Amino acid sequence: MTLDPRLLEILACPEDKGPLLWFEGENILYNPRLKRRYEVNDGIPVMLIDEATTVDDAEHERLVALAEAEGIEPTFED
Amino acid sequence: MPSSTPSSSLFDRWSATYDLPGLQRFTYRPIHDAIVAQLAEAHPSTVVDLGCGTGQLTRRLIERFPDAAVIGVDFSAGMLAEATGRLGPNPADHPALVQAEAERLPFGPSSVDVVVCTESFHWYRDQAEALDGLAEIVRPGGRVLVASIATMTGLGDDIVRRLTSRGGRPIRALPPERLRRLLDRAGFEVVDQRRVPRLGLIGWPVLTDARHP
Repeated sequence: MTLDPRLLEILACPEDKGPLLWFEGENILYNPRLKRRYEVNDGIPVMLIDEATTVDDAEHERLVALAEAEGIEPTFED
Repeated sequence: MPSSTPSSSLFDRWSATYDLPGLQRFTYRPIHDAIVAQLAEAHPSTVVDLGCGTGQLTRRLIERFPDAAVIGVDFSAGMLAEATGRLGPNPADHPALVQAEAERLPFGPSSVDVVVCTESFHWYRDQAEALDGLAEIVRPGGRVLVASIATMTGLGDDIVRRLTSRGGRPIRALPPERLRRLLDRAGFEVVDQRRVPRLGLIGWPVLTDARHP
């Protein structure tokens, strides 16, 4: 499912307000600084801190490598 | 005439929902009209409808600002699902929807031109914190429009909050003067504040228009 590019341009982590990585194939938004993952349900990003998941180091490495391989850029410049 | 014919029972069942469009029209439309009128001269590129509920105002904002990114934000997944169900067939008319808390908005610094907030401000857990957050995301020269039920005095405010606290979800209806002070403290400049007349027993809401210097 795609997200509106104009929403993606400004979407930030509700906790540290920094940019996110959008993994369209996995329907997740990822904050690599806090290792926190937000789900996107039916095209609606669930940007609630209580419903986010903190990932382990292995998953963090995988997502960072995937972003690099697929050329996924942060939602905006920090 | 028999009192319980099949057709009357049909009407009985129908009546439960029949008036809802009227209710919507008389309670919310005057506020939505006031918001749209207040934005007559605005040319925003990004608009956030904070507490968008089922998206009635969000859809009007898309009509009004067809070239802008209009984003509906609500805390409730149920409301957003309802909003999604009411979208028309043309994806260009669809708002972007985001589930988030008013006090923890997921937008970058100075990224939004206009935030409208109708009939949701009185639900916020921490209104001062929400306004501080808005001051961060609204661009210099941008605006925040709050339409909220309002009490005339701080005394009424306390009574409403105490009564509704018993239900577990306190309503923090502010006297207009106190909302003005909260906005001032968050760094906004209130440029207009007035009551919006509407029919019905519910008090007239107050529309407050504040600019971010």
